Amino acid sequence: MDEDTFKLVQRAQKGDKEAYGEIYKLYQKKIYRFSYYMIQNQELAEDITQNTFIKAWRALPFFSLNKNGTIQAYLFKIARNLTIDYQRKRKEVSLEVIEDIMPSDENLEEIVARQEEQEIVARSLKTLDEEERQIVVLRYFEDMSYEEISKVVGKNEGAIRVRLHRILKKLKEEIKDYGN
Amino acid sequence: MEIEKYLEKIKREYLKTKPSEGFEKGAWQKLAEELPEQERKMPISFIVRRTVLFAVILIAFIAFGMFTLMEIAQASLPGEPLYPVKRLYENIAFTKPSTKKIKVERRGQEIIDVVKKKKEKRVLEDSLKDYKKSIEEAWKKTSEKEEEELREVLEDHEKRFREIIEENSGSKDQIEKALETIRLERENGEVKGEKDEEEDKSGKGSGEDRKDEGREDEINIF
Repeated sequence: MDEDTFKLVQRAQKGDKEAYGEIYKLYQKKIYRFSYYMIQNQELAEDITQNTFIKAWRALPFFSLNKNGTIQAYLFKIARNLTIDYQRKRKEVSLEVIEDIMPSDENLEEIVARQEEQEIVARSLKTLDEEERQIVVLRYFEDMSYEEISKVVGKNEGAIRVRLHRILKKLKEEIKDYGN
Repeated sequence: MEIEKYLEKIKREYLKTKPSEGFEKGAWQKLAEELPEQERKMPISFIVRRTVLFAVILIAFIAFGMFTLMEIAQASLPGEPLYPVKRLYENIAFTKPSTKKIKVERRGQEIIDVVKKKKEKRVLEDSLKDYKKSIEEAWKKTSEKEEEELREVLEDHEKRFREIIEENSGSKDQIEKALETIRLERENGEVKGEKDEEEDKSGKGSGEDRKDEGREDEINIF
């Protein structure tokens, strides 16, 4: 975490909403992307993004670099927990309800085009389980350090390294099949 | 395709993912209005967790301190500040009748250590009293096997006491008393053993009776 971000966090911890707005701008898209690839639903991903920042704001006075790592890791951890909560609930919700909350006022062509792009990523990661997907996204797409990932996923750095090694092996096999 | 290139390609697609335009522009305004008050007090669960953690650490610390104290106290001798701790430990750890032999061993060792360290005569006399008492206790309600073990301990003590008499002639009188105690107690043990056999044959007398009879000819040398 650079010094500017650290100062913004310190100000936000004292209740400065303007500083928190700057933090929001820095991480909004990242949190959205991450949430989206975990739950595959745009509107829900937007809700999770908002809820992540509300939760983070509420508990921000207790945020500490030693305990929580960077503010980025802190936000991703909250987002991850919210997506897990959502996925748990989703099992209880019927398909009809999910269809009801899909956006209806967007251009259908735009939606289809965007979904095609997103499907490429989703297809590529489909062989991985939930946690493996999170690790790949955080490490290779969001360029986070092992230390940050360990804070988000709640496992030690060594375990993350080992897991990532296995994931890469798995993906290599996938690419072979893809090439064939 | 190499894995790095493959991931790079997916990354490009991943980074294209954006929220809806409406969300991107107006989300902060909406959120800023909705932001609740920040929590300034620690959540109860956090306080409870911290208290429990503190209590566990405190208990572990006290337990470690007690354990260390007990360990150090094991080397103490009569008259030393930690000696009561040693005796307390023995009263807790050696409660079974079969462990009485251990107390005798320890009291005997104390006599040897007191003599070697040239402690005051009063200390040696206290040690001898404790030694005698521990032997008396050990004879009570003992099985044949335990009696045999106790006799072996006393024989060993006898040898070792004779050795230290040679090395420490100044404590000769006191150690002689200890040897006398051993002799008498061994005799008592033998008498007790014989009586036990007789009573077993005739089928008379309870264990308690035997115990009291065994002490009749005991001589207080201190």
